[in-house]
Amino acid sequence: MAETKIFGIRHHGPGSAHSLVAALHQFKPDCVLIEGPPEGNSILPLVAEAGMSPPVALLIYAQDNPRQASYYPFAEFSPEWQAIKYAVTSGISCRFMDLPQSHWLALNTARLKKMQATGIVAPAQPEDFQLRPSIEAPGELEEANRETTEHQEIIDHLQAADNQDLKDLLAEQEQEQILKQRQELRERIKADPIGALAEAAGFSDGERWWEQIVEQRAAKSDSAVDHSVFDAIAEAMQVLRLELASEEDPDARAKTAKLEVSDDGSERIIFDEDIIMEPLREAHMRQTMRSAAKEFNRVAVVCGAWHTPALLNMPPAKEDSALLKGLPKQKVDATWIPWTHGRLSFASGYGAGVHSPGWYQHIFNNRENPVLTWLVKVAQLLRDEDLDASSAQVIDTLRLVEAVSAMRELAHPGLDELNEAIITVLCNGNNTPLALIRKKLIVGESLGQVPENTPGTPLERDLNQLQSKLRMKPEPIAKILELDLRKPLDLSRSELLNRLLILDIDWAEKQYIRGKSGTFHENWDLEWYPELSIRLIEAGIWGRTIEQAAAARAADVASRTNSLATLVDLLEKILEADLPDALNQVMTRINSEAAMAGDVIELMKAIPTLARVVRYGNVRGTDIGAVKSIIDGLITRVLIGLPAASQSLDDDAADSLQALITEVNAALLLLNSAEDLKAYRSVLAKLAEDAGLHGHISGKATRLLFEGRTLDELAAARMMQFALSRGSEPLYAGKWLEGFLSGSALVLIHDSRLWQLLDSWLLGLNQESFSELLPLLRRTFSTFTSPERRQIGERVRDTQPVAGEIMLTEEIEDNLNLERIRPPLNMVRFLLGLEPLPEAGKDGKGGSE
Amino acid sequence: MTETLAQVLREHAETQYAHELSALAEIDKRQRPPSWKLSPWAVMQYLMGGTLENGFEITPKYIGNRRIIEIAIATLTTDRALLLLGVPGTAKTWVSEHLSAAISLDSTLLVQGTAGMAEEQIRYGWNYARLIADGPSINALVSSPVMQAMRHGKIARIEELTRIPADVQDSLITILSEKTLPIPELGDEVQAVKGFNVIATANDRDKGVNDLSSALKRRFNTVVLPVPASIEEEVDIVARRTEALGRALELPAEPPALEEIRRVVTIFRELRNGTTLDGKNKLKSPSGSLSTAEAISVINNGLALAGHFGDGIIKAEDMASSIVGAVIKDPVQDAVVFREYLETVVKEREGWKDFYRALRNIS
Repeated sequence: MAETKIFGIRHHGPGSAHSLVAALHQFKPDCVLIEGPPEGNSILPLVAEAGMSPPVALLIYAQDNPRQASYYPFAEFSPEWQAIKYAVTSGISCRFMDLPQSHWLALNTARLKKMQATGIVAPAQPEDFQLRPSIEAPGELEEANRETTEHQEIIDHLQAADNQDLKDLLAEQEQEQILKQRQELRERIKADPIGALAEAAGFSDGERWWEQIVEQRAAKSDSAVDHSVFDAIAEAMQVLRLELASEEDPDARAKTAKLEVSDDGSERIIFDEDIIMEPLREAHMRQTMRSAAKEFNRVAVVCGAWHTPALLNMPPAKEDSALLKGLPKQKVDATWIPWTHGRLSFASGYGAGVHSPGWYQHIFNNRENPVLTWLVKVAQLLRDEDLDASSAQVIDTLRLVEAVSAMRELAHPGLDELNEAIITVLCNGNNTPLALIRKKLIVGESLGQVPENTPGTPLERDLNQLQSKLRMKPEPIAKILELDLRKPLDLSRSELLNRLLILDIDWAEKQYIRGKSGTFHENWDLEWYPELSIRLIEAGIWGRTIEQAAAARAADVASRTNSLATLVDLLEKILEADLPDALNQVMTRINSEAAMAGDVIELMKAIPTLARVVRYGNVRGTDIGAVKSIIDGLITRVLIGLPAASQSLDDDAADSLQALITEVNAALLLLNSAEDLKAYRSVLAKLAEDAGLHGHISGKATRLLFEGRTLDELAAARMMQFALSRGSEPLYAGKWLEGFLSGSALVLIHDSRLWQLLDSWLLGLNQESFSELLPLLRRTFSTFTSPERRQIGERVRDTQPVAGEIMLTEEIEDNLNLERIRPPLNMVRFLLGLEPLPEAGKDGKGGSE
Repeated sequence: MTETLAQVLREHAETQYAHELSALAEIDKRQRPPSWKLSPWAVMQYLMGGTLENGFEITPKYIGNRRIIEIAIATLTTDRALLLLGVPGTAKTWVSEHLSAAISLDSTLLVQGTAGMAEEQIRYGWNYARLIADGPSINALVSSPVMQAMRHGKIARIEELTRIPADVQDSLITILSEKTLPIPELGDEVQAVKGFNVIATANDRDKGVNDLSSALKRRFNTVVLPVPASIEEEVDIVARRTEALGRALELPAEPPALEEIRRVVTIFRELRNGTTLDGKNKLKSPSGSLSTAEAISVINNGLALAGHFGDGIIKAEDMASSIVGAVIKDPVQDAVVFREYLETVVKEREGWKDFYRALRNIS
C-alpha cells in the first residue's frame, strides 16, 4: 500500500508555500496531487519552461462558448504553484484532482437552462466573471422556488396582519437576520479557514499566524522544518468542520437562499453552492487519490486546508463512484494566460483573492526579516517620489511597529500595524502616500508571462471566428478597407476594429475622410504584424471574447483616469465600438469627474459629445435618461462657472473659449431644450455686455445672441457700435469683430446697418491702428467662403466709389493740375476696375457722378 | 467631548476621574514603562472605557477608532513625541489631557501655544528680583512646565503647537532629541528622567499657522484624529453639545429638533467629504474646515436668532446665514462651490425646499 500524505494549505498563502516546499523535500513523493481541474494536466509541463513567470492563471473554457470559463490564478507564493514546480522540475508525476471543469460547466449550463425555463432568470443572462461558477443541481431548484414563494407569503401576511402579528414577524425577521449573519460567517470560514483561525487567535493576517505556528512547532521538534505543522492544521480543520456541521441545520440553510436582483436587472437564486458541489468535489479528489495510490508509492496531496478531514477519512470507494455517476459533461479546453497582481487582489472583485499580493510576495521572498526589509522598500519608494524618508525615520517606524504589536499582544506585526506606523512616522499623519504604497507595493504591478508554445486563448479563438465570419483575413501587407456603415456587415467590421483599438491591438488605423459621404463612411488602414498576437494574449486578462474584453478594458481605463476629456473621448470610442456594458460605467465616471472638475473649459468640452449621444445614441439602447441627467448637471455647472472663466484671458485662451462657447451653443440647439438655451443665452448676454472681457468672447456672444434672435438687428447694431466706438482700443474692437464675424459673413452682407457701422469704423481708423489691425481683419475675412468674400467685394465696389470719388475730385479741383496726373490716375482707376476719368472740358461737372 | 459645560469650575481629569484611575491601578498587573502610573493596556482601558474584571465600569473618554488611540499610546512608550493633528472639534485637547492624566496622574504641565510666545515658556525664565539680589543660581530660575516634566519624568502638554512662532518651536528640538535642557547661564543642564515625553496638539486646517520645520517634524509621530465617522455619531455629538451650551448660555429657544440638526450635519458632512451621503455624487469641497465645532455654533446661532427674534422654534431661515458664513470662507471659489451644491443637491432633495429657498436667498 502506498504512503499518502495530505498537506492542507492556505490558498495563496506564502507561509504554507514555504512549509509545503520544505515538507515535500523531506517526504520525497513520487506523485503530487493538487486541488485543481484535471483538464489542466496536459499543460502542466509548461510551468517549467523558460518563458513562464507567475502571476499566471490556468484558464478552462467551454470549446463552443468561450464566455463560459473558469480561472485558477497562481502567484509565485501560491503553495499549489510551488508544488507543481517541485513536481515538474524533479520529474515526478503531477496531477490535478478536483472535480473536472467539464462537469462544472455542464452543470452550470443545465442549471441556467432550467432557470430560464422556469422564468427565474432572463434568457440572456450575462456570464459572470468569477473564479468558480456557483452551481446548484437541478433538483434543488424547485426547493429554492418554494422558498421564494414562501417568502412572498410572509410579505403578504405582513401586509394583512395587525400590530401583534407585526411584532411577531419583526422578531421572525430578526431571527432570519441572525441566521443570515451566521451563514455569512460560515462562508467566510470555508473560503479561508486558516484566516478564520488566525482571526480567532487575534491576528489581523492569517500569514503571521501561520508563521507563529510553524515556529512554535519547529521549536518543539528537532528539525527546523517538518511537516508536523500540516498535521496540526489537519487536526484543527477536523474540529472546525465538526463544529460547523453540528450547528448546521438544513432548514436554516434553505432559508438563506434568496432571490438576488443583480445590477443588470437579472435575477437569480443565490444558494449555498457547497451543499451540492462540495461532496462531489471531495469524492472526485478521493477517487483520484485511490487511483494514484495504486500506481505510485509515495503520494503527496496538496489541497485547501478545508478539505483535509474529508480526504483523511476515506469512505468506501463505492459511495464516491455512485456520487460521481452520470454527471453531465461538456467539452472544455485549457490554457495558461498571463495574470496580474492587481487581478489577484480583492479589489478587482475576485472572491477567493488576496488583499495584498505584493506584501505576500515580499514575505515569501524575505522570510528572515520581512518587517524591516518592507520598511526599507517603502522608504525607497517614498524617496523615489520625492517624499521625505530618512533612515532615522525608518528606525523610528520599526520601533513604533514593535511597540504597537506589543500593546496589541501580537507576536508578529502584520500589515495593519506596518501601515499605521508608516502613516504616523514616515508620512507625518498624512495618509495620501499610503495609496501609492498600496498600489505599488502592497498590491504590486507585476504582470505574468506565459511561454510561446502555450495553447491558444479563447480571445484568439474568438477573433479567428470573427475574422472568418466578417471575411477579414489578417494579412501582413497594408491595405485600405472602405466601409459603408449602412450595411450590417460593414458595421460589424467597424465595431470589431474599434473594439480591437480599445484593447490596444492596432491592426487597423482609422483614416480621416474629407468631404463627401457624411458620417456613414469609414476608411481603415489594415496591417497585421506579429506583435499583435502577443498583445492579443495579453488582452486575455480582460475577458474571453473580444466584446467582453474591450468592455472590461474600457471600464478599467475609465476607473483609472481622472481627466474628463479622456473619459469623454473614451465614451465616443465606446459608442463607436458598441459596448453597452462599459457605457454605463463610463457614464458614472463622467458624472463624478464632472462634479470635481474645477475647470469650466473641461466641462464645456464634454458637452458636445454627450449631446450627440443624447440626440443620436439611442439606437443602441443606451440609457439616455442617465446621459441626460449628466448633461443637465454639466450645463448647470457651466452656467454658473462660465462668467468667471471668461475673465482675464489671453488671445489663445480666448480663442479656444469662444470656439467652445459656439460648440456648446450648437449642442444646446441639438438638444432642443428651450429652458437650457434660455439660461445659456442669459449668460451670453452677460458676456456680451461685459466690456472688461476679451473682445473675442464678447463679440462671439453677441453674434450667437443675434443668430438666436435674442438680439434684434437694432440691438446688435447698438452692441457693435459700442464695441467699435472711439472710446475703445482699436485692438479690442478688432478682436471683437473677429469674434463677431468669424464663421460666416452673411450677417454683414445682408444687414446694411451693420455694414455701414463697420465701414465707417474702418474709415475712421488712423494709419497706425489700421496697419496694426490689418492682419487681424485679414485673418477674420479669410475664414469666409469664397462666394461670401466675392459678395463683400462687390458690395465694397458698389458703395465705395461714391465716397472715394468725391474726395478725389475735390482735391483734384482744388490743388492739382488734372491734365498732368490723368495718366497715372487712370492707371490706378483701371487697377481698381473703375471707368477712366472723363476728359477735362467735355464734362464740366467732373467726377461728381 | 463628554464634559458638562454647566459646571463653572472645571476639575482636572485626574481629579474628576480619580476613582477610575485608582481602580485601574489596582488591577493593573501588566508591565509599566518607567515612571508610568499605569501600563499601556490600562491607559487604553481608561481612554476607551469598558468593564474591568472586577465589574468596575470605566466611562469611555474618546468615542471613535480604537486603533488610533493604540498608536498614540504606543508612540509615548517610544522616545518619539506625540503630535495630535486634526480640525477643531475632534477632541485633540481632550485626548491629550486624559492621556497625561492616565500616564503621569498629572495633566497640568501645560504650555498654551500663542503667536506671541517667547522661548522662556518652553525652556525657563528668571526671577529677576532674586537674580539681582543673589546673582545667577538655580534658585533664581523659573522653570517651565516642560522643564518640570523633564525633572519628574512626566508628560508635558503643548497646545496649538503650530501657532507658536517657528524659532520658538525649534527650541523643542534639543529637548526632544537629546532629552536635555541646557542652562548655559549656570553651566548646568536638566536631564530628562525616564518617562518624560511631550504631547502636542495642532490644527492642520487653520489659517496662518507656522508649519513645523522638518527637523522638528521628525521628532514627532503624527496621529490624525478624524472627524466623526458616521452621521449618527456626529448628530449625537452636536445634539448633546448644543443642548449643554444652550443651557449654559440660557437661550430662550427650544432645543432644536433632531431633524434640523441632521440636516445641518448632512450639509457639513457632504461638503467636507466631497460626496453626498448616499455616495452617488461627488462634490467639490470648500476651503473652510467645516468641523463639528462649527456645526455646533451654526445651530447655537440659529437658536439665538429664533429665541430672541423669532417664535422660539428654530427654522431654516435662522440657520441659513450662519451656514453660508461657515461654508463660504473664500468669497470667490467657495461661493461657486456652494452654489453648485445648492443647485445640484439641495434643490432636488425631498423635504428640503425651505432650506433651499432660505440658502438661495442669502448666497
